[in-house]
Amino acid sequence: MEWGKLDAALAAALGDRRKGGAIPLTVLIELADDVPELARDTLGALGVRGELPQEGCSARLSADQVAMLSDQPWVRRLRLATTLRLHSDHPP
Amino acid sequence: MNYDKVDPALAAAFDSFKREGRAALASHVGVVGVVSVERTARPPRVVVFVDCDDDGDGLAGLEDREVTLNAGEGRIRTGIVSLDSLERLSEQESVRRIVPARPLRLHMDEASAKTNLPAFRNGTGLSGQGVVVGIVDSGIESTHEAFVGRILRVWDQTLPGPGVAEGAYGAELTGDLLQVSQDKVGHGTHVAGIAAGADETYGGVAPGAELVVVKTDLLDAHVADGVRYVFRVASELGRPAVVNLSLGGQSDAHDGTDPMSGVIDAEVGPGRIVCCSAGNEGVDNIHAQVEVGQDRSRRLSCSMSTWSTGAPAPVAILNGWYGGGDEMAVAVVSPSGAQTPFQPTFADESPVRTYSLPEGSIRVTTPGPDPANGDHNFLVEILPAPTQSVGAAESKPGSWGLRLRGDHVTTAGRVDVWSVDPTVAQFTGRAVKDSLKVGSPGVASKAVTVASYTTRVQWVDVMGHPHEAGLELDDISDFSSEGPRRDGAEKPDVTAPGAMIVSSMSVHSGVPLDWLIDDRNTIKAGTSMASPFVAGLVALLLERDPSLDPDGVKSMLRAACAVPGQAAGSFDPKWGYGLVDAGKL
Repeated sequence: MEWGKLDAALAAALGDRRKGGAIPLTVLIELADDVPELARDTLGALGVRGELPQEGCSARLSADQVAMLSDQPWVRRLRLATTLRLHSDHPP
Repeated sequence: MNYDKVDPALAAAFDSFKREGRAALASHVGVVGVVSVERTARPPRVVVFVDCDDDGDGLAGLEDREVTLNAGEGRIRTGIVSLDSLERLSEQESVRRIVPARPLRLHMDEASAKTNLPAFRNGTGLSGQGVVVGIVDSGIESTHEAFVGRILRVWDQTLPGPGVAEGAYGAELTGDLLQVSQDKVGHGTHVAGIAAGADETYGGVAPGAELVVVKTDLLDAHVADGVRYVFRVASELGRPAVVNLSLGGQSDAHDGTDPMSGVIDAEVGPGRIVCCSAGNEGVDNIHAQVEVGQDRSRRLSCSMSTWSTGAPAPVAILNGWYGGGDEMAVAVVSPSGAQTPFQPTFADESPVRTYSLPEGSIRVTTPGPDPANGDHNFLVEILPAPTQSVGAAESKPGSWGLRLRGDHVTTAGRVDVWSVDPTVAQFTGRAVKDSLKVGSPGVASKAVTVASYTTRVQWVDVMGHPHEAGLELDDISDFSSEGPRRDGAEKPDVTAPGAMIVSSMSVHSGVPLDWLIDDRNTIKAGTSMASPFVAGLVALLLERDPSLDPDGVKSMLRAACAVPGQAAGSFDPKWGYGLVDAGKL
């Protein structure tokens, strides 16, 4: 595992065996400038398809898959997807 | 007649009819929705709202030629009843209240008038025709009259299916299948109504635009996929598009370098605009800021909400950021004074450490600098332990502390920390700052980020009960989140009406009775309501010039904005460049 490629939230999630083990995590994969064809096959096997935008693509990954991707030179950064909130229904 | 259940205006009409016959109803027509007043072939009838028991027991057997109730869900049903049958309806056990439909005036809602929108549209003839409005939200009530025939596609990310080009999950729906996707929250329907609803009274800003809707699971990565999807569909149709995002969080760096903001900045361009809400944390103490000197330590105090066992344990998540040239160590102090060791940065190994304190378990994550901005990010998660109290197990109240130690400080040593969920934890003390509260995606450099202005504070609900919101009329809404960004960049951009706004209601959502205006509309507040107002304005501008880019849109909006009491062109971290005046666009 190349921990330096993981953002704090993903590192924290993997530090929790309950989350990092059995439950897949939705992860944003940021790619390096030069992505080899092999990378497309690897990402395709993880459910990523279509265009590979440099600013990132998302996939549901196990802890082992995160570790595998972190070791790839064509992966720049791995970030945990976070849940956003709707901005209304604030009690007046 | 059970008069306790009958609205006074309807009771008055009923009594007039009983005393003086059909002719006496003429004076009531302007007050209650009486029909067949002049026809002699049918008895006079009245259009009503019926507030019934949750399951509506007994209503089905009641219906005949004199009583017709429309299909629907929930407590409030609409229908038409003859005045001769009103007594029978009022005496049904399952009926709680009968209120007449009231004739409405044909006028725009307060929000439109106070931003000179009618004058702008009348003067230009613009309606958003030929423009795609993208709504990435909780879904849409596709059968609502406000959207009939104008929803092009829905990508429901929560349904099982093969997905779309932007993501192999969810289902894409068109035509009759649109109804498969339901807005059970009601937020997306309300937002869509503000941007592009067609309604004579509470119509949206761009009622001629067409809609592409993404019902999202709210994961930021999937919201980003939704933005790409809308722009791709619009591109295939050869149309300009504006995407509205009335959502956000506090988990990012607050400087526009997070991936969600990166996607927005990459996707927008000529004819492709994104509008975002600023957030509703204006009165919440979610941000603290301290300066930590070399070999000095500073403490931030944080209070946590209490909870009872049986409910999901609330985890307080504190998201901290400081400059990449500095090195800070982080420790947590429990309410009784127990403290974790100071944890330094771990760049080449797992940066996660867990600790156990008497009042709870702690996880601290201190990785090396984030390559997106070169700054350090740390996370502190506090899971309070339940302690016994009278009657139930509750978390121990008290103030938790976050201690920061300057191990290697080359700058002012500024540290900013956000509580990710204000319902779980908020800061206390001198370090609290009412600034830098706009999170992603509102911090995206090229997004148009919108604060909320209060154009209405009083309303009458469907049952005729008056209500008042605790907000200052014709002023910035106090809940609207303040900027600027952590790097000093200006956010929010502009202000638009966000409270209290009447717009479309989803029949699949549970709307509090107090917020129900009629059988099609509900009232809400938030920057969620302000953003689609501007998205609608952008749709009008794109109809006029389909090549407008984010810089062009922002420039036009800024020129049409003003902060009350400040010189034209002034920026304010609460207002941005101020309330938009559509008459100046």
